[in-house]
Order: sequence, then C-alpha cells, then structure tokens
Amino acid sequence: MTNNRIDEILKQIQDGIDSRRAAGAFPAGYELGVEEEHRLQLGKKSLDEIHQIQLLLSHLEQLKIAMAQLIETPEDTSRFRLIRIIRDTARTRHDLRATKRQLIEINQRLDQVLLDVLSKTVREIAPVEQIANSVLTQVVERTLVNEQLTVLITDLEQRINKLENPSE
Amino acid sequence: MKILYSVQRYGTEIVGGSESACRLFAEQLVQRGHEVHVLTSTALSYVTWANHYSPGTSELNGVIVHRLSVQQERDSAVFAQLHEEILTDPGIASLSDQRKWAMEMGPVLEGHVQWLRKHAREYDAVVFMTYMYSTSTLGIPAVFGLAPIVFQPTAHDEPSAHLPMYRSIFSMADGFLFFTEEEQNTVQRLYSPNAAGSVVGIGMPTSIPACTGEQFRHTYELNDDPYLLYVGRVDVFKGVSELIRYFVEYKGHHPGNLRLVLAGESVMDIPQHPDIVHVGFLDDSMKHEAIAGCVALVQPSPFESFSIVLCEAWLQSQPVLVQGASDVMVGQVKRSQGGLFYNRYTEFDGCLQWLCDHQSEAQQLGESGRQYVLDNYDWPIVMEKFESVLHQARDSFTVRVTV
Repeated sequence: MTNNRIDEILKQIQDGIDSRRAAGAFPAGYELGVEEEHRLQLGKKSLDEIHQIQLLLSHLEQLKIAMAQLIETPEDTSRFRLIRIIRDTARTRHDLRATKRQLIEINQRLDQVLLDVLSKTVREIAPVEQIANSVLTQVVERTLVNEQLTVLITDLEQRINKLENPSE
Repeated sequence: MKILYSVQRYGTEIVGGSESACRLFAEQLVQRGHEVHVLTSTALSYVTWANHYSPGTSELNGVIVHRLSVQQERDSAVFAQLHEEILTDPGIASLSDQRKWAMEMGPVLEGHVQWLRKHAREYDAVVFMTYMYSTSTLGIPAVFGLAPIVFQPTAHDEPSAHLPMYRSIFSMADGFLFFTEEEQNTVQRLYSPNAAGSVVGIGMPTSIPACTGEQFRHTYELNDDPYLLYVGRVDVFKGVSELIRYFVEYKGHHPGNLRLVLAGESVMDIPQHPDIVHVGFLDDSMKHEAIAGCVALVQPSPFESFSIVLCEAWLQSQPVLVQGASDVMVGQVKRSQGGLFYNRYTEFDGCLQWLCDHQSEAQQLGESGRQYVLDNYDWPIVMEKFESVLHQARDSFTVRVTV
C-alpha cells in the first residue's frame, strides 16, 4: 500500500461524484438539501429564507432536467400525443422559468434587504460593540489572572500545610 | 508504583470510549506489577448519572475500585439550557457560570473532594481520565500539590474545551498522556500547558479469535446481505442521526440489499427502515463476529479523541469509513492508510459505493490498518510510554513542591 493510496482513491471517488453530478444525480443545492432535511428531522427548523429558496430552486432545477429528459425520450410514439406532451411540457417549463425568475428576484431582494439591515445595524452598534468588546476583554483577562492566582494560592496553602504538619 | 485513576464511570458494563480505555489501562498497570486504585461514581448512565452500583470499595480484575455516590442526578432540561447558553461564546463565560456548568455536567460525588484531599498523598501518581467531567474539574484542584497529577484528557476541539476554566485545570498537571498527535496539538494550542506529555495511544489485544461473521448473520437474520457496521453509543452527538440520514439517501441512489447495522446502547430514536438494524449492545465475541462480516466499519462522530473501535476493525483487517470533520480520525486513517473519510453526503455516497464495489482493494486498506495497529498499539509498547510519563510527572512534581 503506497503512502498516498488513500488520496488516489479519494480522487477517483471525487471524479465519480463529479461525473454523477454532471449527469444530474446531484443537482445544485442537493447536499444542502440533505443537510437541511437532517436538521429538520432533528427538530431544528431553519429560518433562513434565502436558504429555503435555494432549496426550492434546486428542486425546480431537478424538475427541469426531468422534463427535458421526458421531451427527449418519449415512450409514446403516437405523434399527436407526443405533440400534446411537448406543448404541455413546454408550457410547464415556461411556467417554471417564470417562477424561477420570480424566485431569483425574491432572492435578490431578500439579499438586498438583509444587506441594508446588516449595514444599518453595524453602523448603529459598532461604537457600542467596540466598548463592550473592550470591557469583555478586560473582564476575561482579569478572570484569567484571578484563576492563576487561585492556582498559586492553592499551591501555597498545600506547602504551608506541609510545613506545619511535616508528619502528614 | 501505587497509582490512583480518577474516572467518571467504571465497570465492565460501560462501553464509553474513555471509560473502557481507563479500565484497560488500569488492568494493564496491575499486570505490570503496580498497585492500582480507581476513584469513580456509582453511575452507569452518563446521561442521568443515576446511582446504579453500590458505594464503597470492591475489586475488579485486580483493580481496587472506590465508588462514591452521585449527589444529584442530572436535570437534562436545566443542563441543556445552560449548555447552550454558555457554549454560544465559551471564551467569555463568567467563572460562576462555568462552575455551574461543571456541576451540572457532573457527576458530583458525595465527599469527592474530601476523599481526594485525605488520600491523594498515599499515591505515587493520580491519573485523571477525561477533561470534561467534574471528576476532573473538581478533582484536579483537590489533588494539586498533594500528589503528581497525570492528565489523560481525551480532549478534542469542541465548544466546551474553550471554557477559560480549563486553562487552570490543564496548568495543574505534571504530565500528559495523549491518545493521538492531534489531541496533543489541540491541548497545546488551547492551553499551552507547561508539563510534558507523550502520545501513548492505547493498547489493543492483538490476538483476536478467527471469525467469519456467520454467527452474527445467523443471530440477527441478515442472511447474505452486505452491511455497513456502526459500533458505539447510538447517539445524535456521535453523529448517528446524520449517518442514518445519509444511509437512507444512499439507498435512494443505490437500491439493493445493503444494510446499516447499529450495535450499541441507544439514547436516540432510531427511525423505522427496512434496511436499518439495531442489534443493541454486543459482547466482545459477538462484536468481533459483527466486524468480521461487515463491508466496512463506519465511525460518524465529529468529536473523537481516539476511536478504539477503528483499531478493532483494523485488527480484523477490515476497512473503515470515518467522519472527515474529526481531525483525529482523519489523522488515524491517513497514518494507517486503513480506510476512507467523508465530509458531506456525496462523499459518503462515493466512498460507500467504492467500498462495496472494490472489496479486494478495500481488504488491502484493512490489512494496512492492521499493520498500523500492530506497529503502534501493542500493549508493551504503549505501557512503556505510559510508565515513562508517570516517572517524568513524579520528577516534575518533586521539583515543583520543593522549590
């Protein structure tokens, strides 16, 4: 076994994942979706709306790929039926694209709103936070000094005890 | 030497990693001619610390065990709330909050500090196992200055390790025993202790009876189905819920007869799934059988200071699949070349598929792991390093108290 055999295998595995991703097995946002479902199972509901929208987008992306495949490989060879499927699918794709555009807009607006809120908050609390951080740092430093003193005093107590009771 | 080991739980029924390790070390020390005592609680459960064993002194495999009753069972609701509050930003937690957290973490034992102050001088060294519990957070300051303190912290970089109180606790040690290089680095980075330490790992019984896995398959009606095996506490904090989620997802991508077998005491709800089998706690013989028959042993815990079960799998020449978030386990896997690691679902999927599809190459990973364990974790090698730390700690203690 060579020293970098694990790296070689992991590289091989990563290539496989990339190929499967390209083939649509793992659409955009897929891993986040798995993690999110796991978090929901644990009862920790995510409040991150942007994240939710990204998930929805990834589901729509999956649906889009599935639709595209349906158009490319129809099982029913009947011409009229095929035309109807294509029309229906095209309409659905159109609707999906419209929904996607709307969602992207919502996503962008949410990003903008969050950015505004964040910059406003930062502007307002920055001076206060600076003072609070400075005080906190001082408190932590003094706490650590106190702790070290406690350690030293305990040590000294033990030594005095030993000097007072040499027989122990 | 006369040695006292301090640990939160002790007994043959206890499968927790550090507690099992403590028992193994204590028994090895006895075999090497030392007189070994253990100070521990009467608890069996680490969740409630409910009294289970009788208090008092008894003997177990040549080790003298002193058990003190648990003063108060843990109130899970109170602890959970405090845990979340204090660990949001552990670096700035007040001393009183830290103390409250340490007491809630438990187990707080009847007359614990008094016992140590009264008896510590009778020992050539006191070894404290596991940094997190009150057996160490209250015990180490009680022994400080009375006897050489050897700390076997089983530490890893987790939120609670950033509580400032641990800086003092770690500064009181005269010597350290680490399981891995990663643990040693973490302790150095977080606390910069003065005392010297050594990576001793843990010994493994290298002669395991030949197993085929047939008995395990027969007992749990697994037929010839391949299975991924998890051995340990079935617990959200051990990453098992994520493992289950990933496995269910994997089955969606790869329908087939692969199963996930969970072996160990459960402290979480296990979802009903036709391919997930919970077999409960296994004795050593059945555990070896289970390992012998698996495709790979999986260790999903993000917080591990050492994984004994990985070494057990390697001794049986089985490959492992570990959580990439644990630098300790990734380090073990890289050093041994004994398995694979994953950081997210797609990697888990790819690694598991590879292990299922490349059994011969996977077996070679297992063989590499076996050689690594034989080279590093044979008991005589481990115990020589252990005794060397004991002597260094005694010398360092003597210098400190006489200056």
